Amino acid sequence: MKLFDFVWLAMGILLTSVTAWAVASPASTQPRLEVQTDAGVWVYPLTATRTIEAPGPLGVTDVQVRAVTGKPTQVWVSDSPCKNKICIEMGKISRVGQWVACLPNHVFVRISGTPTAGGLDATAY
Amino acid sequence: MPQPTERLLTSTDHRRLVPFLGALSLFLSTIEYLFPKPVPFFRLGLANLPLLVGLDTFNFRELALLLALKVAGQALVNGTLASYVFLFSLAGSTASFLVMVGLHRLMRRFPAVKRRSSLVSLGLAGALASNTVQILLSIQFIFGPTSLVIAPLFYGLGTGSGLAVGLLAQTFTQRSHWWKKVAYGTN
Repeated sequence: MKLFDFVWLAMGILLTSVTAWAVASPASTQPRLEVQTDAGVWVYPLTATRTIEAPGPLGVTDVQVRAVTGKPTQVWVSDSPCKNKICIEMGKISRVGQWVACLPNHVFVRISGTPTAGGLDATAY
Repeated sequence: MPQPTERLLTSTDHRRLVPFLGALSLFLSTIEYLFPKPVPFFRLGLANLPLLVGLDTFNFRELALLLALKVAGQALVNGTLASYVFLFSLAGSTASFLVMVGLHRLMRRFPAVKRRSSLVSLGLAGALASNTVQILLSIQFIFGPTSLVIAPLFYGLGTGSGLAVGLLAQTFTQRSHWWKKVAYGTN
């Protein structure tokens, strides 16, 4: 590798770090669930188990919320009318900043709020 | 690697090489399809490899044809030709293409830049350009400002895959006797 290769590599790492820092800045105190669709954004508390039906251009994407006392609330997409089902394969999310998206059906699910003390600053796949 | 000073291939040879590399893009798209995607519309960029190794060999029109074959091949393999996901792929690939070709021209014009750069630079720059355009399109047309949440993962994965594809392209063009023969007519 040569000099400019390292420069471009540093630029990639810088872009990753800057965007991660921008995303990590908290917007509210209590963790909450945001479900964004073409019709608008729905906000739910993470304290109750529920099934959310998020409408999109392809049909309804089912989002499951499972709240268990003493454990982090888990959120996942259980069913979606999209073709590749990547949103289902993305699995369960439970921490502030994590998200699941279904691009074809325009559904974006995100846990927002202030990270809990002792929690992770960031995650990597 | 000693670079050939002149091309020994005829225009007919070039016309044969472009569809061959287009087919290689299609094959690499199929390989890429086998890997699970951690993020929607993210690609590893393996199909970019023929474009990257062809930068030294082809002119702008031939490279643009190779880009068209690559984008169409990816859409056919992924089954997204008739969907707007195709537009994301087209926009990302075009941005990557323009940045890589532009930087390559810059390297040709300024030998000092060329001495300090390799295909790794082009691979990384192309990946970052593609990711940036796709994030901006996502912000503008799909999820709004919330799309920024996917940016760190996108850039992180893009940097890793751009580095890997760039290293692969660099190693291939340096070591492959077959490539030197078919691309430059030398051994």
